[in-house]
Amino acid sequence: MDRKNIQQHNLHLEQSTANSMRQFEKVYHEHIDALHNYGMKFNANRELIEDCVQDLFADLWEKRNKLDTIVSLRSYLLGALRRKLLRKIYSDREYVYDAEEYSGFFEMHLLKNAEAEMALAEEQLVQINSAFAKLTEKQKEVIYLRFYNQLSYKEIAEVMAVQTRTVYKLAYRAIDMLKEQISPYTPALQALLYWLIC
Amino acid sequence: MNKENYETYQLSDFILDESFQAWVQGKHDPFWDHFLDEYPEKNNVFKEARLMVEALSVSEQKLSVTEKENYLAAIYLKAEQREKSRDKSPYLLPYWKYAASLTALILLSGLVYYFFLSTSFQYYETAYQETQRFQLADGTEVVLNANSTLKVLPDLQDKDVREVWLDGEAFFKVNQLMQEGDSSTFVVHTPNLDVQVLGTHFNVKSRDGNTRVMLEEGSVKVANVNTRENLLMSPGEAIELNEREGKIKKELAKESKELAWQHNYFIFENESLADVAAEIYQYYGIQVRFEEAEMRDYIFTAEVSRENLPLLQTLIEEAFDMRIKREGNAMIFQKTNQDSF
Repeated sequence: MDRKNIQQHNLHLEQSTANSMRQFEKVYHEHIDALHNYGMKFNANRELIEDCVQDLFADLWEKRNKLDTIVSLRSYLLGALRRKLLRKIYSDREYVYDAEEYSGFFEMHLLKNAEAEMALAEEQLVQINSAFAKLTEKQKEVIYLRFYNQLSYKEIAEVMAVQTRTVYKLAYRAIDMLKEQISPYTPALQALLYWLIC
Repeated sequence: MNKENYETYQLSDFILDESFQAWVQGKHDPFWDHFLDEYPEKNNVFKEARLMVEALSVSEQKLSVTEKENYLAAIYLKAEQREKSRDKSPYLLPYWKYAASLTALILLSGLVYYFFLSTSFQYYETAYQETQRFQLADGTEVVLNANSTLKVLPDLQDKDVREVWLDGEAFFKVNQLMQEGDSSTFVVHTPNLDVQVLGTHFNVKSRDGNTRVMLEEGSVKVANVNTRENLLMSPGEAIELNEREGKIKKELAKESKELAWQHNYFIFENESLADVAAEIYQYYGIQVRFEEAEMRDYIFTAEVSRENLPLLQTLIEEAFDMRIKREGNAMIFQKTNQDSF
């Protein structure tokens, strides 16, 4: 290669790197909050979770030219993060919190929702929260992916590596349990509802 | 949408219906807008389902701009290390060219990123243990405490209402500006409180849903974002709004104590160790864990430079006869073992 060709070659390399980098960072900014928040629901310390999220994106950087081929990036990334985390959590016990310190594999903080707090009386939120705490880990996870990440049942099945049918079952069972727990309070809920919506 | 048999729809069916959920979460859908006209008998269950979906749809906290940038930097570092360990000698030459241009691009993309931000909102951010002093476009002076973010409206000097958003703690010396004969208002927004001022010096601290305003000079009006409860403050006063209580409390402030952070000092006056722990976390990013819960209520008084964490550590250890152990990014407050006596 003569000098001119090398220069052109480098220019081309820089341009294509800049393009793929822009695309990569777009993907990064679109998904980082969801991935980080999902990761933090697992029973492991922040260091391990951040490490897995970084690994995930480093993998993605290597595949940056094939990003277009992935159908649903969100569920692909959540699923990949889940596999990484579980593998590390099971192989690397020292990174994991004491069982006493963390009550479960999946922690939900419904009370933090400022909007719901405005709409619902604190007492009712506490009801929903404590009902929620009684769900199994898998049920909580389905609800989380459904209502927080707006994934379809098919996508949730992909993330959790189970059949779509199972996701439906988990979701229905979870909602039924929530309903059972909360139903004694429905008159109060409904009274509030009329005031809210009408 | 396939025509479901909505006559038989139960609470769970509504809640788990994807299009219903999307509608409750804000997606425009005329079908659900007019659902009750068509199925009036479903009124109760429909509204209950709507409430449930709202309660389950929690919006989560987002990472700060700094956290995102740090994350991204760590990712690029990891990718680079992987490439380094993979490509040995045969590709050394082209690889190094590539690496050099990659590094340049990383820098460039950072610049582009900040340029992009500066044409819209401007962000000032401080890391742990960092305090920044700067002047905004309208001449207002700001001192930003560690671990804080200030978002500023673009072209502040031309605005009738100069708006900034604070997460963390900052001191403001607001420059009085005239806008067509009227002085333009300056507003500091925090998640639960708006502070409205004309020209004045004051301190705002907003962390974890708790906002405190201390007025040094001039006058400000504060307003609860949720209830619109508002009140005027006079110099030397401090007000506090707690997310739990939801009502603004007013008290006389100790200026030297509240503003100590600007001189890089902690002043603790009869403060619980729990509060001291919160300060340590806010400034150093170090999490404090207490071996026994009662230790949180121990009362502590001291004046220490923020540069001197070991001294603070020693003072606490000696005051309460305890031992402080460092473990990664955490500090553990332990009781010394009395059995050896």
